[in-house]
Amino acid sequence: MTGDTDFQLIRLAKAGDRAAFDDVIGPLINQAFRLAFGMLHDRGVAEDAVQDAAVRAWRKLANVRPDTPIRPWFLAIVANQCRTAMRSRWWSVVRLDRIDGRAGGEFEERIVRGAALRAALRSLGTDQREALVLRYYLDLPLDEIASITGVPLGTVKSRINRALVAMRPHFEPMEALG
Amino acid sequence: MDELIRSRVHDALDVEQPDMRLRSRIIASLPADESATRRVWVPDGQWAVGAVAVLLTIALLAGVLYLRSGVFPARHGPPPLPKPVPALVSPEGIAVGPDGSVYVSDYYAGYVFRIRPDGTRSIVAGTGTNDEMGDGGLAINAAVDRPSGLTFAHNGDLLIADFDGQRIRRIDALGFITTIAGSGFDKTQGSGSFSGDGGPATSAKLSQPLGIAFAPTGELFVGDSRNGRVRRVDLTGMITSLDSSKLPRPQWIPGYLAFDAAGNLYVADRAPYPAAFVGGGCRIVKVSHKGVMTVIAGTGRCGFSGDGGPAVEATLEDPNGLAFDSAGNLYFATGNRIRRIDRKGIITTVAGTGVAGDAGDGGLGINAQLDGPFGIGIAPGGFLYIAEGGGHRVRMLRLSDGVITTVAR
Repeated sequence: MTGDTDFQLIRLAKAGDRAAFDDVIGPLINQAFRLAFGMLHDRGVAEDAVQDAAVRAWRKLANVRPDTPIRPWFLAIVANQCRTAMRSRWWSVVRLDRIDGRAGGEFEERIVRGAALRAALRSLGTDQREALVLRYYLDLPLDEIASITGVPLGTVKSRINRALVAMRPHFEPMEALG
Repeated sequence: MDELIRSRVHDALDVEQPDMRLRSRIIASLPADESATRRVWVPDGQWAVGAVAVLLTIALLAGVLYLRSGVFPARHGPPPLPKPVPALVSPEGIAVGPDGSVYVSDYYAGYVFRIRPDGTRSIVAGTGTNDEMGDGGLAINAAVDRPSGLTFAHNGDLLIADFDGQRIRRIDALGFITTIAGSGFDKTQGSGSFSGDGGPATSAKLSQPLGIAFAPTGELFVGDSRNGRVRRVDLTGMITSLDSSKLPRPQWIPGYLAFDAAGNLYVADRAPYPAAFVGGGCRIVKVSHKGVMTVIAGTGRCGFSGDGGPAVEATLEDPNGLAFDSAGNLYFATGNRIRRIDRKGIITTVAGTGVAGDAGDGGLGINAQLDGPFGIGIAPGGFLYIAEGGGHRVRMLRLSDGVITTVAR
C-alpha cells in the first residue's frame, strides 16, 4: 500500500467513500480472519472481531497518514480486537472447546494433531500466541510483526522462541510422535 | 524446521474459512452517519468494559436504595416490563406468513422476528446468542445459529436455515422448535461437511445452508451452499442431492431458492468466494420437475449489465433472495439492487441504484439506495419485502407503483 493509486484510495476512503475503503481493506480481510481465528479459535467470534476491527479502522482512518503501510496498521487493530474478545468471560467459558470437542471416535490423525495443536496454542499467553500466529500462519516477516504488535524486534523473537519451546512436542517430526 | 512448524500450524488452523459474505457484510455494516472524516471518539474495549462495570455497580446500588426507600417495597415491587424487542442488526431471510405477517431472520443478532401488518414486531425464535440449543422447547427460549433463509410449510410451520448451526429447524403451530435436517455443527471438522445422502435428513451433514423452499409436492429443498449442492428432503424425511453434473461450469454455489407456480425450482448460484472454495457463477438456475437444469439468467461471470435484454445475456452481481409475483415474474436481490425477469426472459432493475445507502424512502424504488439486500418475499397484493442486511432494516416495495418505504428497523 504505497503506490499512487493506493494513496488516492486512502484519500477517498478518508473522505467517506465506502467503495474505496473496500478496495483498501477488502484484500486484507482474509488475512485478518486468519489472525482472528488463530487467536480465538471460533469462526463466528473471529468474524465478529474482524468486523468490529473494520468499523474501528473506518473511524480511525482520518488519522492515518497517506504513507502509512495499511496492512500492519489494520492487523494491529484486528489483534487488539482479538485481545478484547479474549478478555470476555463469556467467550472463554462458552466457546473454547466448541471445535475440539471429541464427540465421535473416528479421527484422522491430522485432525487429532490439529486439535491438540489448537489446544496447545490456547495454553500460550496472548502475546506468544499472537506472535506465533503472525509468524507461522500469516507468514509475516519479523519486522512487520514488530510493527503490528508494537514491540521491538528482539521482543518479537523472544516471544516466538518461548512459544516454540512451549509447543515443542507438537512440532516434532511425525515419526518421533510414535 | 520452520517449514514443518508452518505446515503444522496451517493444518491446525485451516479448518475454518470466513463466511463468504464477510467482506460485503463488513462494508455494509460501516456506520452510515459516521464517515471516516468525522472524528468520533470511540472508547477502547478495555476502558469500555471498566466503564460499563462501574455504571452497572452504580445502577445496582441505586436500585437497592430505591427499593429500600419504601416507594416500592421489595415484596410488592413494580410489575416486570415486557422484554424489549431488539433493533434489527442484519436482516437476512424473509418469509411472508399465512397470517399476512412478515417474518425476518437476523443473521448476526441470532433472532427470528415477526412483523405484523400493523408494524409491531415480536421475537419468534432466538435468544440473541448464536447457538443451537433449545430443540424440543419453545422457540423463543431456543438459540438459533446465524439464521438465514426462512420458508413456510403448507401446514403453517415456519422453517429456519441455521447457516452456522448447519441445520434446518422447524417451529410448529404451538411454537416448539425441532431440527428436521442436518446433524449440526461438526465438532471434528469445525465447519460442517457433506454426508448422509440416502439416509435420514436429521443424520446428514449440511454445510452453511442458506435458502430453503417447499415444492408443491411437499418436498423440502435446501441450498446447501458450501457443499455446492441442492439437497432434497422427501416426505419420509430421507435426504438426497440433485444431480448438477450437467450444469455448465463453473461449479455452482446454491444459495436462495424459490418455486414457480408450475413447481419448477429456481436457484440463486452465488458469487465465487476464493478464500472458501471455488465455484459460483452469479446465475439463476431453473430446475425442472425432471431435474433438468437450465441457466435462465447470468453468463457465468459476475457483474451488472443487460437491463432491457435477455436475462441469459445479462451479468448479475451476487444473487440472493428470489421470489415470484402472482403474474409469474421472478424478482431477486443482487448487489444493491432488486431485478426482475419477466415471463419472456427479459431482465430489468426495479429497485436500487446500485450504490449502497439509505436514501429514497417515499419515492420510486428505482431511484432509491439499497444497502445489502439479501432475502426477499412477496405478499399477496404485490408487496415485495426486502431484508437489507447492511441497512439494518426491512423495506417494502409496492409493485403496483414502484414506491419504496421502510417497514421495520
